[in-house]
Amino acid sequence: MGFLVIAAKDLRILLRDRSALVFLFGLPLVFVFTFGMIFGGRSSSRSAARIVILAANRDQGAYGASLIAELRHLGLKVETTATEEQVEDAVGGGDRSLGLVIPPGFSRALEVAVAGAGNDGGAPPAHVRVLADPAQAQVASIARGAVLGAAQRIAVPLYMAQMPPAFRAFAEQQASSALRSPVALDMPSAPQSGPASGPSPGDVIIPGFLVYFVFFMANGVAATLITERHEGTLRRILSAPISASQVLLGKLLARALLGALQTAILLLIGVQVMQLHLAHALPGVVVVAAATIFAATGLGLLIATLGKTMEQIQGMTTLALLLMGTLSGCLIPRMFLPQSLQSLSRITPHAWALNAYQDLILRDRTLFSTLPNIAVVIAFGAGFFALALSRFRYE
Amino acid sequence: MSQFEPNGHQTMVSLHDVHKRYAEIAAVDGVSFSLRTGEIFGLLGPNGAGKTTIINMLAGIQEPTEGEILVEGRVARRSDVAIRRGLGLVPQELAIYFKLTARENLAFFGSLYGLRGAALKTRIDEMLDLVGLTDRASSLVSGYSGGMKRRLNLAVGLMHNPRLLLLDEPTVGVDPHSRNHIFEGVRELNRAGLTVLYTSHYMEEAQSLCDRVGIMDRGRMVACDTVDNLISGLGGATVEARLSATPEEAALGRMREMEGILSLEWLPATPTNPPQTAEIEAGTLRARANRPELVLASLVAALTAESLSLQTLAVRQPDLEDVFLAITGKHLRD
Repeated sequence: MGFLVIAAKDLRILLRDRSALVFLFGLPLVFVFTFGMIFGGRSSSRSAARIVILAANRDQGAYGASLIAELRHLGLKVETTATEEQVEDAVGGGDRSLGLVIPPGFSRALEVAVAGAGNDGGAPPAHVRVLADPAQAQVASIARGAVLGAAQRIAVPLYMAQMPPAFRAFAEQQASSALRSPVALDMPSAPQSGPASGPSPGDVIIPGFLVYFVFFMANGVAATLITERHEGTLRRILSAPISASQVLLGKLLARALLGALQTAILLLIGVQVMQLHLAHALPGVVVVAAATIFAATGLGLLIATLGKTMEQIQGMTTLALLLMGTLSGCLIPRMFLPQSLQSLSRITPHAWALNAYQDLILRDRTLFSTLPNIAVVIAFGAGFFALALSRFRYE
Repeated sequence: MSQFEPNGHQTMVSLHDVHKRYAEIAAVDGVSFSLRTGEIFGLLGPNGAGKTTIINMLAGIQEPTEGEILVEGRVARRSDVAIRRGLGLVPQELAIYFKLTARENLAFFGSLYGLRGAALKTRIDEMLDLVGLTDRASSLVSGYSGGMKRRLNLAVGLMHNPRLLLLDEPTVGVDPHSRNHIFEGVRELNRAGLTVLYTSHYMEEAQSLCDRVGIMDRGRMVACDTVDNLISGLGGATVEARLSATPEEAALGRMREMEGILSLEWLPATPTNPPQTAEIEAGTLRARANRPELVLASLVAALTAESLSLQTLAVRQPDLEDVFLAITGKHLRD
């Protein structure tokens, strides 16, 4: 059990290094609070320009297409797809933040709704289905306003067209009140076991930071191995009756325990200060955290075998982690990235770990349903560790 | 089998035509020698001669590119973890943790060798006593002097009571007091049966400590025997004349041609050849001769003829430095 001896030694040394502890635990908290104050659960009008709606238009009439055209006219980017299931998968999996399903018969229903406007009791509104990723909940209100606004822009000319020319000037003044709700939105209500009144700042921000800062530990893992190499202690350890895998495992374990502590502190702060809704998701979150820590420490070991000097290691790690953190959506919501970069985020373990956290905390999914995400994170970790082991040698 | 292998002694370690190459560079180039159980063997040579690479291969840290290393009859391989239980390594670097105490350092390395509980504690106390660090056992190593760190470095290598101790330049940068402490400790352990492989580029250390020495240069073993045999094989003695002016090359040439002179060289005063008199000293004229008493008079006469002022004159028996010079044509510290 040489790896336990190495892990205990590493922990003892780390816990005596105050500056390392500040970096490990203090810095993430500063980031969380700062970003929480900047972005905390609020929507932004500037967001609209970057929002992508995936729409399935199943209406055979003209108004379904008109609705999409009006949304584009409002400045939103609308991509189209064929089926309702494709929209559900894309939004449910976090690939798109918003989805729109225009059902068959929408045009006819809208005509009926407009024709009945102003009558006593009126006519039932035409329905469309709007799907919003709970992990990017700040866009849901934008979607609601945009779809209703676009529908109004179709309904008003339709309403005017059915009026005799002599009444049109009067009808124009009355149109907005008569056409109060020609279109109704079918939007899912807030999850029963999750956030009761929409996601809190903690729900939105903490998952990204859990992933981002745990992966920053890769830097520490790499640094400790390089330091041991330079100071000669690695040579001495390797002369002991212990295999290379035990040495790496010991290094991994020490940092993993610190990573677990860091994760626990972030979660605690999230719950206590930033209204993170965790109770329903805690068992799953523990599993995701363990997988993420494994992948992060594995990446650190791999980086240590790729560089020779501390400068190389730190440069390589900082650049890689910043890129991966940004690309994956840990620092900036993925919806703000161009579509090509959003697809590229899948090559980072961060993106899969973040998806798993968001599934559990924001999308009210079960641990079982997010297992594929967790499996990919573990596969990344195993790959990193195996590569590090194959490259690890004294020279 | 190599010409350097001894006969009639129990062998602790043997190397057979061992090579270690890094790309096109041969760090070790066909080295063969053996260590007898219970001896102190010195592996000598300048920096880059391949001594540390041999230590690393013996310790299982690196594998030879070619050849075979046997430790206590077993082929040394990185994958053979058990073979390393009997080896203790004391690296040239201070391979200890400065943020741990001496006791914690010893406990960590002892634990890697399977020591636990009371056995570990007892052994830690023994080692602290051996290297004179009992009083500072609970202080962080970062507060130790260089000599104390060096002694702890030695103690760590001995924690698990190895049968073979690999000492890789253990006295680099060590003050005389700590150096003597280390030497005495090594001699005492050797008397108790420990086999020692000691590398150094300080010939005088090896001469006083080792039973046999192997001299390495550019990855090859160029000589291997007892210190006495190597020196007596060289023959003669060395005449050293310290001069206040530098002789011209032509004058040196004339002196080399003198009868009875085997070799002659001029060593300018440098940090490694410091002046030994209060007067201005340009350097040392070093001449080797089979019968130094026969060349002394003619050498002094030649110096007078060249108007070179003599500050000191001494005749000394050859040492390992002279052996190295005679074999490789260069100084150990070049």
